[in-house]
Amino acid sequence: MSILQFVLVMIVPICVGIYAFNFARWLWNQGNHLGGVGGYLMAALSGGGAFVYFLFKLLI
Amino acid sequence: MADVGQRAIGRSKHWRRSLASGQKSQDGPSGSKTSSAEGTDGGIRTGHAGVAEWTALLTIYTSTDVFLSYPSRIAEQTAEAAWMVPLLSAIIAASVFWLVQLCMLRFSQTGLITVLWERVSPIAGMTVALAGAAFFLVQTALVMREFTETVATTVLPSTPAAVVTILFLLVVMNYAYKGIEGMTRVAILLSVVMLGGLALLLILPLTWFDASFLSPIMGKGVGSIVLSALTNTSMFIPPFVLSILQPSVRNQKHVLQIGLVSSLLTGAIISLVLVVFIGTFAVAVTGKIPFPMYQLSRLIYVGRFVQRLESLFVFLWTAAAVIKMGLGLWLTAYLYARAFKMPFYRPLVVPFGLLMFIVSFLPPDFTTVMNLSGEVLERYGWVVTMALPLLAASIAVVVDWLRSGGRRNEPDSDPPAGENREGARA
Repeated sequence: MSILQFVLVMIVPICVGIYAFNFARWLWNQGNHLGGVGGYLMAALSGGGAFVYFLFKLLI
Repeated sequence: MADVGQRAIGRSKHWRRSLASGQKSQDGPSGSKTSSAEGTDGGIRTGHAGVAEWTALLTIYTSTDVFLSYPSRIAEQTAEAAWMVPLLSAIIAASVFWLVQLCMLRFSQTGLITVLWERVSPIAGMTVALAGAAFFLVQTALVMREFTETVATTVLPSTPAAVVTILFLLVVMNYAYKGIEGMTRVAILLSVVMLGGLALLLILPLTWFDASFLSPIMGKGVGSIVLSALTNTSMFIPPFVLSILQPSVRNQKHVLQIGLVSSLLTGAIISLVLVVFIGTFAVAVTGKIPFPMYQLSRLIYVGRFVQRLESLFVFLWTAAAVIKMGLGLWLTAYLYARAFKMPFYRPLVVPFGLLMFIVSFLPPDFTTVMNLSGEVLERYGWVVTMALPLLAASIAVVVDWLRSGGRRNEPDSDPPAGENREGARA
């Protein structure tokens, strides 16, 4: 697998993670702390989980 | 260019200010609308849908299982009596739904999660919402993998499964993004085409039908039929979904009608399909075919020019699959947002779509997917779809009755025409 393919695959979970993280941060700043916690959890689950999954799939 | 940027920033600031102060705002981060009433109970604006639209959506969602490995599993469990199982499951599901609605009469025009959150405990509301989100996440991911394998092995054998899944996912995310109104309208539009296609699919191969394949009529016995019907109620979602999304029904008087009609209609459709399957292939073969519907369509031979019609029916299956997965993804995002009192669900659609993609590819092969669907999800899924709403509604009634000092709860005064207590406007 080339570096370009690797970057193309890994950029998806990173972008989704940043998107979810920003939503969570916005909720937290609005004073909706419960929603913020849920958003951070979502960012970790989707962005982080997908990042680890793709990393293992590509490297192993 | 700079002017456009300034206007966008100004609009964003206005939207944030109005959201924080609880005023009505016209566009959120995802274009959704909010109102002050929704902010008080964590409700999310979902819009409204009519009786026919809701019935079509719920019927298509549940009936789509007939395109997958469900008929094979039922045929293995109950042999020739497989066609009785969905009918019995539908009656059980309709009874549970009726009991849940009986409990919900005490809390007029309010969803189950709101009732639990306000009358019992926020923990109870959050638990029910998260359990539902987890269930629909796993179920939709497994359905996505099953459909992907169906398409990849039958129609597009040279295409990698991941490419098929990504294409499915893009459509499904767009569909889920449209919200419940958009989904129900697509469902009612496509339901006519689907019913017509299904009728054709069941009538055209009747030249191969042999009624003797349906005997002995009781198959493996009454015990296996009842057990299979009880466990397979997990595919009937109206008790869970309608008790939560009750305020999204345009006319509250018709909630019971939607649940009962969609459950019984689904049972009748699946039962009819199973009669044709078993009468055409016999039980021994039906139990071993992974996609009986596809094989049925391949049998069609009406003269030299009307044959090999499976390519036409693939469009029907794909449309049904998109509706099922779209509602599954929407429910996952919506329930998760409700669990954490988020004002919007749309920003969660893409992250949950990615999560579904990952979960759908965690099982190493198709056999594992079928085992997970049959041995885990269908066997224990009724805990979420049947037992949880019934238990939660019963607890809510008992707690509310105790807190009100044993008085009968008088329903609140009727909200203005076209509005419900959760603030969603018709």
